[in-house]
Amino acid sequence: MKKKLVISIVALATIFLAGCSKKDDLSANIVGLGGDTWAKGPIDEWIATNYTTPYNIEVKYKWDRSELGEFYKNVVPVKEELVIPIMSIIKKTWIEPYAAVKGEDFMKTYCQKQFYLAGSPSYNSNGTITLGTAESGRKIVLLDLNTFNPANKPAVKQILHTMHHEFGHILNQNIAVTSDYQRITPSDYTATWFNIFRGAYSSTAALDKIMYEADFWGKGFITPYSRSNKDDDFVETLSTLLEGGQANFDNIVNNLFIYDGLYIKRNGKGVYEQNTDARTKLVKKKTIVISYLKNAWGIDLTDLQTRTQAAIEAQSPTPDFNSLLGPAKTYGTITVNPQKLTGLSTKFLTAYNTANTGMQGGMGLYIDNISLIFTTANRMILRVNFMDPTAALGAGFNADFNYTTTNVNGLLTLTYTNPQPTNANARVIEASIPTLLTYFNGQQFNVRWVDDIVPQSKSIFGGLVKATDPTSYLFGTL
Amino acid sequence: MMKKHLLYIFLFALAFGSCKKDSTEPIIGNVDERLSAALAEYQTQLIGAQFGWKGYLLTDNETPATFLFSFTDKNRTTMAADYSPAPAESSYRLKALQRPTLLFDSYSTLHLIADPTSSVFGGSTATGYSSDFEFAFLSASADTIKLEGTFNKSKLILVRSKSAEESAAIFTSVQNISAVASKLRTYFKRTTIGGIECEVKLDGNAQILSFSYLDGANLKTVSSNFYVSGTTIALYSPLVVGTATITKLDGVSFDAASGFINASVSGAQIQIKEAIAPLKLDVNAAQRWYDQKIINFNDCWVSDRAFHANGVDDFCNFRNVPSYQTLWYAGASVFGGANDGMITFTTGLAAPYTFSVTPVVINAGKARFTLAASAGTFTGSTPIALAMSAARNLLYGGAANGSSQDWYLIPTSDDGKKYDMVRVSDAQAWISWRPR
Repeated sequence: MKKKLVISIVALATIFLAGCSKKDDLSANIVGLGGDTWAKGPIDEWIATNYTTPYNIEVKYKWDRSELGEFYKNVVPVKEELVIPIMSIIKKTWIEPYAAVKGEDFMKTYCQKQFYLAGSPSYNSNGTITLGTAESGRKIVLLDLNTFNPANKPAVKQILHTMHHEFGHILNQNIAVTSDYQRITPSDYTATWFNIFRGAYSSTAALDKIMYEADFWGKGFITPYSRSNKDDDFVETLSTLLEGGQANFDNIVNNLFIYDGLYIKRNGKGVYEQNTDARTKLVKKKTIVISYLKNAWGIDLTDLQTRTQAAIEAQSPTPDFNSLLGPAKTYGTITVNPQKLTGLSTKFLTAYNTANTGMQGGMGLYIDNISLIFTTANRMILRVNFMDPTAALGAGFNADFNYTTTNVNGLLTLTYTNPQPTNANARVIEASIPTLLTYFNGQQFNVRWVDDIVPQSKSIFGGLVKATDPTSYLFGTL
Repeated sequence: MMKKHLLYIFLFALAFGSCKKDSTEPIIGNVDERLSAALAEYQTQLIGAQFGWKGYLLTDNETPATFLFSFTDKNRTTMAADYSPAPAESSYRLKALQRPTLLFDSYSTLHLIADPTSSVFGGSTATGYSSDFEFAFLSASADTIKLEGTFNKSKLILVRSKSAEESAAIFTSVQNISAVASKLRTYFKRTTIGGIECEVKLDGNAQILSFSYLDGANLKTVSSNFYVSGTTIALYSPLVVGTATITKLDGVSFDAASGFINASVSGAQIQIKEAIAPLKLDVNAAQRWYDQKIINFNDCWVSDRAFHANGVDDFCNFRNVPSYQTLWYAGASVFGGANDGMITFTTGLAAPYTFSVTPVVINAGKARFTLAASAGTFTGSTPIALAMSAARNLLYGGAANGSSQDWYLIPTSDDGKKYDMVRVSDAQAWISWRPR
């Protein structure tokens, strides 16, 4: 009886199962299944060779509105002819440095799997524009690419900043940064970070710049966007270190002072009051970024930074400094302010400080800064900016000393012009600063970048290095 | 035992019952197959035009643009536009989105007017000209494909070009129609459609066609953007005049013998004729125009193109005046005296200029301008003296103090900020005014 029941149940089950085997047509060719297709061209082949095959990354450059984070905005596609130049630079300055430091497998594992490229920015209702977005470490959307020009270094760096920013999010989402990071500047995160822009603070351009910079650098944030929240703060610091380089970061820190209106506060002898709070915060953030990369990922930031900067320089080379300096050229003036710079040569500083001491002893005045002005052919003006310590804050006085120059392929020969032009200020202090004047007079200098002295400082510092003594040099901001 | 049998029977019934299949098949075939077929068919149609497709685009902010497209089977398209006539290649593809959709999926001439960065090609920041580059198919016949932008709802009409000559002529077709329209010398143009007398206005710059007719005692105006294909004026949206619905005017041509413009509407011939008076004059418009002047910025009305007269645009040749910007009819405050007057604005206000008897006399909807005095040099052959002399002759009907001329003021915008001023005597001279 038991057996019969079992058989019956088996029979029934068979009928059930057999009876219910419906045949749906699964062979139907569903439109759009498997993605879009089009006749492949050279761009598609290049992407397959350089991204899809080695890294399993899809690069979408053809228009697909659904890929946009904010698909309800007016955005236009990227220009076809820019796809390969852009993606080539990204590969060389983002994938390759990481791969060189951590190996190909690291990039294959963690790199985002999809790029979407679009030509215009996405305009936001608050007046800002979106230049890129990242979604959970899977996809990066790069916008505003139609203005791309490999020779335009700031634009190239802007794209790389986005890349390193978004990849920073991926790293941070896989292994979170230690919570001491968010305790550095906990109370200064703001949803209205986008109100930090040039022109928002004062109708006086110089004052506006000071107040603008004080609103993020002066509070210990590397960019306005980093004030948005702790995560963006972290990745902004990381991406600024990589994309901007070490000299850029250090220069920002070295220029943080306490201002009184347009002028830096100083003691009676011209010593600036540093914004130590902001300096400490920024340096602390950098330290945590370095230790995070080391401890969480085993990456040496300096190594990665050096490689990234070298790659950027290789892709978008900076012309030599001598070719950019002069009348009607990119740069006209080198400003040397020892209180804002580190790394000036001892020999130059000795000349400068001796002159300063001479001024203070003889005249009761002090030197604030000097600038070398090359805006007239065959001439360098040494402009000594000096102040009266008893006077209120102000711009001080300028004393101009002319040097007659010859420049042979960057070898600059300086001769103290005789006679000097009529310049009352210069005549007043001339006798007090002989060491400074003779530092230049009758000397030969190489006009060049000083990235061997201050690494990654091209376009930030330009310098003069004595032809006969490479340990004697000065450089300054441009 | 019986219970168990009952259970089996029940189970069998259940087993068979559960196997009842719903065997309805869609009688029009598999939806995916139909969609694929539709896309393939559109693609074949696009590729198949030997001389390409004439494209007529009207963006959502009513900017008209004309294109010439050709499509290849390799997802490539070459296009030229009236605003950028050099042919340029880019990509396209057909995709099944909500509807079968034609995507121009890489940057091209078409994208210039959609670009949200206004420094690229103008338009507004964040929207450009509110144009599209993703177009859904609305309908397709062998020679005409109608599409609609899926994002900004622009209208795009593709018309198969029949010959190389037709393709070559595409970017001059609007000018050609404007030239035909200007054969009628008068500002006012009349026709009769479906037994209703209408005033016709054709604006070749904005590509807008308007009909005005009397609906009871009121003047009713209907207007639509249009495009021109050969001698056909085709409307983007149909216009209703009385009981007649107008979608296009075919065979628009000027008949020199009769002095009429001939055309046909839905197969019925119409004649467009000159008229020297408006169908219905807005008798308060002239006073409103005069009162508005002092409310306007700088107490003036300005005109970009100055006077049209006797069939000639810029009859007075203001375009020859160096740095010419606008011609002003300015209030007394501009001259610092007691009189209104007419003056040219180049890099600033420039002499010579006229003074009108002030205030201008307005009677039964007509403004009478009377010359009170002239200032500056109207003689000689400098471009500004020649232009202003001609303008003075038009506005006041003469160069002598006391000369006068009557003008209609025709409002051309709903907000009362734009007017056309038309000479009463023959309606063959007019000028468009806007606030500065």
